[in-house]
Amino acid sequence: MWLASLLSPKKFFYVSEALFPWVSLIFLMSLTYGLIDGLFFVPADYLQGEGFRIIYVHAPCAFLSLGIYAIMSFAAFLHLVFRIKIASIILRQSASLGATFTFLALITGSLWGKPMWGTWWIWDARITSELILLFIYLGIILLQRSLIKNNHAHASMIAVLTLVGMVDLPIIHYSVSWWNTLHQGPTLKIFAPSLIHHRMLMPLIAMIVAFMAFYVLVLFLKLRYEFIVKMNHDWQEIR
Amino acid sequence: MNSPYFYIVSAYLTVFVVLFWQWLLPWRRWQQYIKHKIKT
Repeated sequence: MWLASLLSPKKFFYVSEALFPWVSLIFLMSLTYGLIDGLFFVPADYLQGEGFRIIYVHAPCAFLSLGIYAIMSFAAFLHLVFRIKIASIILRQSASLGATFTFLALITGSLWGKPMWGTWWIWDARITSELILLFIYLGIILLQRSLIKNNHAHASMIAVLTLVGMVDLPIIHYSVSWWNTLHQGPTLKIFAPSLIHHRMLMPLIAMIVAFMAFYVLVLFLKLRYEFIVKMNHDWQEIR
Repeated sequence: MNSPYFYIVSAYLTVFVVLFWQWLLPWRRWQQYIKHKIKT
């Protein structure tokens, strides 16, 4: 009950208004540092040369493609179990962003693969499972658009589809460990030392933070509009 | 096409053009709503 009251449209509006400038600041600072350091100051890779700098857009996009789906799955769970309205709205509004990051991860991966592997595309376990994730996102978006009424039953259908699609997340994550893939193994490790040199790691972390902040900013904009215009909450009154 | 800079510039341009468009759509929609609200 306390969670539902915390996630009411009115409270959300105050929280998002207060956080918006701070998240924007985090976004701008981390993006500026990540871009300048990653593109101009970090030394070239001994094997891949200058081409490795694609990692600073490819890895954050791939991270967000999985991260947004994990957030959507959690929102689907909250919607189905606790019937929290904001959870279904977060789920709906995150789908197009998740699909965008998945699409960008595939495009930047292809642009990285051509000079390094000599091919734009290969049916490798990591790449194929990431493509399946894009199809899952597109399936969720198409289902949302085909459902005319925005009621609880329809939101539950989208939530169930999201939870079913969650099976692809561990497959993507462990694909490079379970199968022999052309794609390299995990670079960033949480419970073990990362395989990337710390000099190259710092701008990568900054870019991941910048992309996460971007997701939060766009989600705030989308949710505000959804609450106030579609749910008929008066803007002046809420402010 | 053989230069790594071609692939780097293509990757960065694609990402930032697409993300800018993703941000612009909800931002413009919100600004239009505020303008409309102030007028009425």
